[in-house]
Amino acid sequence: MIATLAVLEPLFAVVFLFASVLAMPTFRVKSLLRLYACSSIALALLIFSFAVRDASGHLYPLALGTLFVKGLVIPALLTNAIRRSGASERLQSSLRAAPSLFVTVAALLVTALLIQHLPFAASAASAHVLYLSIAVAFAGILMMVLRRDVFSQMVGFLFIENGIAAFSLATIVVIPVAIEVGIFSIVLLAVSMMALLSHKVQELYGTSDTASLRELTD
Amino acid sequence: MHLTLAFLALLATPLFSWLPVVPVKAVRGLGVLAASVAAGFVWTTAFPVLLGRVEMRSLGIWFVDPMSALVASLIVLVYLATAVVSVRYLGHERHERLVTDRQVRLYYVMMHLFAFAMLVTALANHLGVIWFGLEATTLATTCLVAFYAKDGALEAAWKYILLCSTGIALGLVGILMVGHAAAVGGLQHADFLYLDTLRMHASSLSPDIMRWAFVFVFVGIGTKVGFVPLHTWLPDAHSKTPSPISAMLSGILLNVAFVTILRFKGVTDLALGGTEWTEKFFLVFGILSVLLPGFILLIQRNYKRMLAYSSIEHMGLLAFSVGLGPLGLVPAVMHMVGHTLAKSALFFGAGEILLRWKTTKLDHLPAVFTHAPRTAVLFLLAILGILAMPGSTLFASEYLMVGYGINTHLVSTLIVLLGLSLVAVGMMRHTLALLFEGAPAATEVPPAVESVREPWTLTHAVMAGELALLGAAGVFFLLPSGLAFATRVAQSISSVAL
Repeated sequence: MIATLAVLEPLFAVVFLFASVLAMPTFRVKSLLRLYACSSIALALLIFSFAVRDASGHLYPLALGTLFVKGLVIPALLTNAIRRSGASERLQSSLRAAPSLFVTVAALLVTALLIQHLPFAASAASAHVLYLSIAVAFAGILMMVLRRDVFSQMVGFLFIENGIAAFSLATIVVIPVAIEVGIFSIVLLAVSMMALLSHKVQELYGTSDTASLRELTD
Repeated sequence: MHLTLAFLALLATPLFSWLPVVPVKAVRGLGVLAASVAAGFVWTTAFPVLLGRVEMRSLGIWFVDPMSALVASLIVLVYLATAVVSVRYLGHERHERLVTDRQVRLYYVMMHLFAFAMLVTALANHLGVIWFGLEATTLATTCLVAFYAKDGALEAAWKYILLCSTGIALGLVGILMVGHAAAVGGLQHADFLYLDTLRMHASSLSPDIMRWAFVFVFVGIGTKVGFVPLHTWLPDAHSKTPSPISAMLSGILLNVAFVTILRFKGVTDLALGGTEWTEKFFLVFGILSVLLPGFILLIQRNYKRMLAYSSIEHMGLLAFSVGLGPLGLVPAVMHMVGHTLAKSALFFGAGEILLRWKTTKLDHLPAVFTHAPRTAVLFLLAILGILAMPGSTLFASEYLMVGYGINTHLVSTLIVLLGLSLVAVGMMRHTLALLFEGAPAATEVPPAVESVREPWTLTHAVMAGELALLGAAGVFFLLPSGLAFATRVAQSISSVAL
């Protein structure tokens, strides 16, 4: 079974990328969180397949941590926060579904062209994971820019973080366990704090639309 | 050992502060005690290194060279000052029922964790720990930016956590690239992310990868520094936070983030075999960060936002100084010290005004000097200090900076001088209006307040102490021994001999 997981590496990679691409034209909060969970689980399996392929024992705890924290805890935490805040199921965006998808695909194609010129592409542990990581992080940035509600921006940040986790896998592979634990804790704390803030925003302004957050000007 | 004790004090105090059995008044006293203990331990370790009596100390994951010793010393100084001012500030707000006991506890928990995270960032030798510390500063202070949960505080907190966390995430990409360069360069896994090892083996790091890494680190952590155009969160966050915390945010956190970029610059310069490539980034972002606040300060009618834009301008000056060339690090060191002292004093003063009139808008304030002469005089002195009047530390730093700039980058220096002139005109105009004119539509001062002669408070004592230090450091840096001190600190982070 373990060997099968290693063989399925390209499938995990494709799921990891497609979850972030599909997130862009998704405007239902639950669907968006499912896509994030899906992306995180694919990332965990990707790390697991790396661990099997390279016989790297230290990657197993990382895979388990990713699966537990990003695949289960964070989506559950956010689902709970959104339910408690009474926010609308429908999320706000500056673009409709079709243009959102078009912009994302165009951005990913540009990323694919640019990545060939990166100096570290040749020396990366896995060229395709390197591409995926940058593509997913980029999709996260696009989501933060194009979306107009606090929940989508939060999920955008989480996609960026997933992209960076994959980037670390593609470049240096080995990060000390203590640092990994630190990064997981910080991400979990950041998300908890963002969830709390989004709840307060919803409570104070009666909407999660970021258009209401334009009080502070010069 | 001393550092461990300081860290323990900073970690234990938040726990005690949160315990319901500890009375709120005791929490405030405990804050001062913890800050004093931490300051004592940090200064005991840092001063011998700063004074050159002990060589730099590398303690594995920690690293105490003159630059980190200076930054750590400034962190605990501002932390101690903030703890003292908070006794007065929160005592007053609690007395007026503006904050609850729970909020007071939260304030202290986060204040101690914030100081802890800054010390970790300043003293860490491992890039992962530096990243961890920087992100922890964001998380601790987000709670403090959203402290009042009204009047735009939530907006400011949302922008702050989202932009800074994204920025620091990009910084992590840069750190990973450095690790990749180290791996490709043949360094052992265990040594990948240690700054001292990276500096030692910089020649084996791929220059191309290091260039990319530096771009990510500069943009990512530059967001935290508040370089224009990555600064949009800064005026909101620094103006909405309780004033003593604004002093920590503006006075020292920006320096901590700036020095982190300087550490990466040192490694990148060594890998590239020269300083010119990285200096261009500092020069361009520096000029932008001086010019934009210059224009905005002409129209800014909120005194806390005015101080926040002034912080962006001073980070711009620091970057400009570093961008001028290797010797620019020397005035940058002096400037860092001066800005920390003057800006924290200014935010403490702003807090006194805010406590009394409950507004940050110039259009709603009467002439402050008439009702609060002590605050007004100290605030004015701090403004003169931050505008680099002779006698201030910032006069010494800007004098050297401009002198060096005229010799190396004449046009850029003239542009910066234009920006500085705009800043000076804008800030002086608004300050004089705030202190001596008062707005026609000023809020009526409640009779009870107006009739009470302004007492000498803890805040005034702290401001006076900081201003005395600002003047003393200003004189010291003009002496040969002061110049030698600044050069030694700058040398510890420079990639070339100064």
